[in-house]
Amino acid sequence: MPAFKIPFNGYSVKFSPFYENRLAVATAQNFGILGNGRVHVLSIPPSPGAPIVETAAYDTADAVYDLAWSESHDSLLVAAIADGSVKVYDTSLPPASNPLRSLQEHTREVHAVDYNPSRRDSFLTASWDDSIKLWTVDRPISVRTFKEHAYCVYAAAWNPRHADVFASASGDCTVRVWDVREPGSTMIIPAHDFEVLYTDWNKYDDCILATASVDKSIRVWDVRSFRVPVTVLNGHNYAVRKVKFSPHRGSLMISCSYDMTVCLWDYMVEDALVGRYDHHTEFAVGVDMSVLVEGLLASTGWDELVYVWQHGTDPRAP
Amino acid sequence: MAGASTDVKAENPVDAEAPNEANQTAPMGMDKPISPSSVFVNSEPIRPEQVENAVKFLSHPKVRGSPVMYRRSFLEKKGLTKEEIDEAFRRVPDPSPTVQAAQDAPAKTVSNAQAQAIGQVPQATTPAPAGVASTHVSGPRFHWTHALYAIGIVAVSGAGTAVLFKSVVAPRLKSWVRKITSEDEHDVAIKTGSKPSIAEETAAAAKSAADAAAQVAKASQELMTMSTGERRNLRDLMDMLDAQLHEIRAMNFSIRKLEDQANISSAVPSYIQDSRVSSSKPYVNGKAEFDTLSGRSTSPPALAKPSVPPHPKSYMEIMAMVQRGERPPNVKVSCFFTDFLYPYQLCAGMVQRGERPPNIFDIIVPIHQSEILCRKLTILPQIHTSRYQIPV
Repeated sequence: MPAFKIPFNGYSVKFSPFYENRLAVATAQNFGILGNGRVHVLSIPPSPGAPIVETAAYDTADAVYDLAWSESHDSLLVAAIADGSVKVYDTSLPPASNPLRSLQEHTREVHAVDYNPSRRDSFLTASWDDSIKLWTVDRPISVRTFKEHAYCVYAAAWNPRHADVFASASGDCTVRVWDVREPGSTMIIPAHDFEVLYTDWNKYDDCILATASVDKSIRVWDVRSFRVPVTVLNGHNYAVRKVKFSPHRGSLMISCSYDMTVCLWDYMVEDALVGRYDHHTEFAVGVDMSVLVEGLLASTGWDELVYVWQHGTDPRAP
Repeated sequence: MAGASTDVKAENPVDAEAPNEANQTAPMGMDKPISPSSVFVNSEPIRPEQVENAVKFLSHPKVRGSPVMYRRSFLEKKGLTKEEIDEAFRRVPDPSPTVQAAQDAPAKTVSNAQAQAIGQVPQATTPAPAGVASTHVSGPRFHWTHALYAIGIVAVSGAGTAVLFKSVVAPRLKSWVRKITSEDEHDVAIKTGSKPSIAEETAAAAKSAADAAAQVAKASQELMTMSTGERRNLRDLMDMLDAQLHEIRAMNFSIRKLEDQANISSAVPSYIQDSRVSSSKPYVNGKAEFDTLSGRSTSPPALAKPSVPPHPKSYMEIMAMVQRGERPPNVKVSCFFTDFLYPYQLCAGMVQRGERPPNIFDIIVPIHQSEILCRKLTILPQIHTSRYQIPV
């Protein structure tokens, strides 16, 4: 299907866990440096030839860096805003009553938000103020603050099997594994020599996680023996912005990078790079794999386009 | 809020220590303890040689002058576990700034060993640490640093009334710099006599630099109440500011030249010098460019391995507009007025601490009242950008 043109620069895409044809996009004006932001909710057409349609859009005072769909309510989504606030939107309500809630606690930009897929009632926000906050949707204040990183926290990811465990990636070059029941981090993995931009857990092996870094590599780690990575995946020419494990195949991962490509990897295989998509003309910063439709991929970048395509097809095909 | 965040930072390592240690041996007395066999907890025993390395690192006098957070972060990046780091901190008591000279003598002898133990393959951006690590005189350094800080603080606190000195100070600065650079050869011969005079001169230089910073602070106040008609003044101001930055840089460079010749370590705070001492990555990623003697890049910095991706042209245009203080034309919904003064606060803070003012794009985030750290808020990591908003 044809690409969807957004007015601002894209930052993140997320498929809805409830509807296979629903997608949310986080965008920011002026590359997120200065200006407003917008959250788009898009509808993917059933037939491949039809265009993507926007069903809702919400303007924000500052850039939107990330968003996450709720796992408990099919119309709720949480957006991470660059002014330090976290906004909750309900797509079933009219635009006038949105955002439902604005949670202002972080002192610097909120860079990532992740919803707990097991407990379904809580979510994490990672911020450039070096902290991660745990929230529940019904409470106006955060439940916990995790402050140990020495630099901006770029991502936080819940473990898909253990409801209380999550990992965080930070500009201090470490990845920390936390347990919500513990006061501090339970594990510190010195993952890269440069900033770690993203981390994600393997959906089929709860001890494996992948990290994406400024050093152009993706490393896969096993927390049971975290001194040495399971594998190092090279292939991107610039910093890797995001890496996500497939919800359908245990060793399959997708990544996007400042080299404008989206790559697919299988880390169990000798030649790990199994796919490369070159469709963006600017930095590719957001990527997602659908849980409900196997092989459905989405990506967005600073070229103000959102692509949705099936793995193996050309994203730019109309 | 800034103060509260420090407390949390200080508490966290202490709090985390007890349950984690208990976790190694037996379930602890919490409401819902993790089972001792949880894979998400590090169950390695403490490695004594790593603790030894960490103790040597922490005992180094330059490390002791650095913030605790940076020391912890450095050790974490080296792969030490929380238990090992806590053990090392236990063995090396946290010193006050006025450490006795007695501790420096053994520190000097271990500094070489430490440089080997902790040091790794030198990065391309950090020069060999040998010259810096082994030769420093501790007594005059503390005295000198204190004088510098004290004068800097006093000068900045009188910022509001010191604006008029600029026309007097700048020519004096220039002539002083010329005088200093022409005195190179004399300094080596009259080492002992020159130390106090260097201290005095540096103090005077810091004072004049602080005056310049005061003027900058005054300019920032004007900025807040600026109307559209004064944007040209703003641009002139920024040009003046750049000129002053050049002067400060030249002054700092000549100070360091002096120091190396007189065998006195520089006033650069220790955590920055650590990037040379340990010949490994500095604490905060991106601080590699703080290595002053190797010069500074005005464009996006080159960290050793990753290369800088080319920017879209429109991105650079936006950045240039923002740097000039203009609002990009398409911003319509009202933005919060935050962070706009940071580049100016940054210059003032850096000068106060005797540091080289960094790239104008860097933004200071005050961590707590007594310390201002430079934070590169990289939207694109490894590429320096500034994030600030101006009112509609």
